[in-house]
Amino acid sequence: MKYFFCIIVVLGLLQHSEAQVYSTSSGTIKFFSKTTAENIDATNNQVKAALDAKTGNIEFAVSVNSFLFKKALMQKHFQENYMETIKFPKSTFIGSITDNTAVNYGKDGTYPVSVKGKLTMHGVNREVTIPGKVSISSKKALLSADFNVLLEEYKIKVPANNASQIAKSIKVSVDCSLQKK
Amino acid sequence: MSSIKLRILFIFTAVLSPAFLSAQQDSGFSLLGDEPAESSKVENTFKTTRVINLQSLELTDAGVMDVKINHRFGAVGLGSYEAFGLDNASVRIGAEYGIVPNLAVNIGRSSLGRMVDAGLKYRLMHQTSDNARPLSLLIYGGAARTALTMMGSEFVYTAQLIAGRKETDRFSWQIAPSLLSGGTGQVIAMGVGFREKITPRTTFNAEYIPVFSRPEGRGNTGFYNSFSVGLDVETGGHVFQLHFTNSAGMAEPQFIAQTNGSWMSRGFRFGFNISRVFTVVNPDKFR
Repeated sequence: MKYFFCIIVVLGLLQHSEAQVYSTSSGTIKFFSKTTAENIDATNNQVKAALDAKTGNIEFAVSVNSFLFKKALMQKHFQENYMETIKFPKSTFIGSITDNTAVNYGKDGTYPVSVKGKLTMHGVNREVTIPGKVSISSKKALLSADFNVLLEEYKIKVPANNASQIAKSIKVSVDCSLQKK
Repeated sequence: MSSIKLRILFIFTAVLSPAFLSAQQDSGFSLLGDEPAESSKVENTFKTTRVINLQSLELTDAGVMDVKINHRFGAVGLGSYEAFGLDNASVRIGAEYGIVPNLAVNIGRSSLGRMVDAGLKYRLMHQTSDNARPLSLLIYGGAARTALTMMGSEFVYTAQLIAGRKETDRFSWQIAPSLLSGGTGQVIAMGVGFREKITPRTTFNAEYIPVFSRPEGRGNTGFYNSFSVGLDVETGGHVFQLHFTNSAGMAEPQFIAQTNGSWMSRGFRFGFNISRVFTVVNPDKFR
C-alpha cells in the first residue's frame, strides 16, 4: 500500500512537470564576428529548445555542425580548428527564467526576462545570466536574446595569424519560436 | 530481522543515490530529453584535394574555385653547383571548380612536357560520423596531352577510384587504384596515401604509387614508383604543401607512369603546392 502511494506521488510529479511545456526543433541561432578586416556570420536553423511555463526552466541544444556559413572553407575551419566538433558536437544551455512570475503565459504580450543557467560550449561549462525576451502569442512562445561570448572563456584559440579576422567577442543572437505541446 | 532489512535498504540508497544523481547530471536535460547522437558527414579528411600529387578524398566545394600553383625543383642529387636542384623548376598552374555538390572539374598546364590536363572528380559516397557509411568513395577521370610532338601527342586518359577513411581526428588514409590508357599502352597502378595531424593546422602526408603493369618497350623503361613525403600547412584560405618527391611532373600520366627519379640515387627533389580557394557562388545556392 505504501509503495502504491509512492508510485502515485511520483507519477503525479512527472505529469505535473510536463503540463505546460513549449518546444521546438527548428529554432534559430546566429552569430557575428566583426573586425575591421572581415565580418563573419553563420546561422543555425535546427536549434532544439524547450521552456516549462510552470517552473521557468529553459533548455537549448545545438548541433554545432549545423551552423551554415557564406564560405564553405570557413565552415570547415570553424568545425575543425575552432569548435572541434569531433570532440564537442553539441553546445547546450540549461537554466531557468529568474523572474518567471513576471511572464503571463495566458496573456499575449512581450515580457523582458533574465535567464540564468549553464552554457556549455567547446567542452567548457560556464554559469551565465542572459537578458532576453519572451513573447507570448496564442499558443506560441517566442524566445529572443542577444549576448556576447568571449572566445577565451570557452578555450577557443585563435592563432596570431587570424587574430585580425576573428573578433575576441562574438555576438550571439537567439530567435526561437516554441509551440505549446 | 527488520533492522537488517532497513540497514540493507539504507546502504543501497546511500550507494545508489549518488550514482543516480551523477547520471542525471550527465544527461542534463529534463525537458528536451536525451536524443541519439546525430550523424553528420565527415569533413576535413585531408587539408586539400591532393595528398601530395595524388587526388585525395577531398573535393572542391560547390561554387568554390581552388587555384593551385605547384613547383618542383631539380633533383637534390644535382649537387651544389645547381644549388641542389633549386636552379631548375617545373611548374603546374591549375584550377579546380566545384560545379555542383559532389562534382568538380579541374584543368592545369605543366611546363614539363608542355602538358595540358583536365578532369572530372565525382564523390559517390561521403563517410558519416555514425559509420552508416564507413568510407568515402570518389572517382576521377582525366585526360592529358603533351604539346611536344616528338613524344607523341596522343591523349592519355586516367581513370581512378579513390577510397578511404578519416579514422580519427588526426589520421586519414586512402587507396587509389588507377588505370592510365593511351599513348603507348596501359599502365595499372595503386596509389596509397595517408595524413597524420601534427598540430591543428599542420599535417604530415605521405603517398606511394606502385605501378603493377606497364607496356613493354624502350619508351617505358627507366621509370620508378612515385614516392612523396611532406607537410601541409594551412593558413586561412591557403594551404601550403611542402614536400620531397621523386616525381618531376604533376599531371597524372607524369607522376604515376613516368617518374624518373630514384630515391636511392638522390633523384628526389623539393617541391611545393600552393592552394588558394575563392568563393565564387554563395553556398546558399546549393543548399
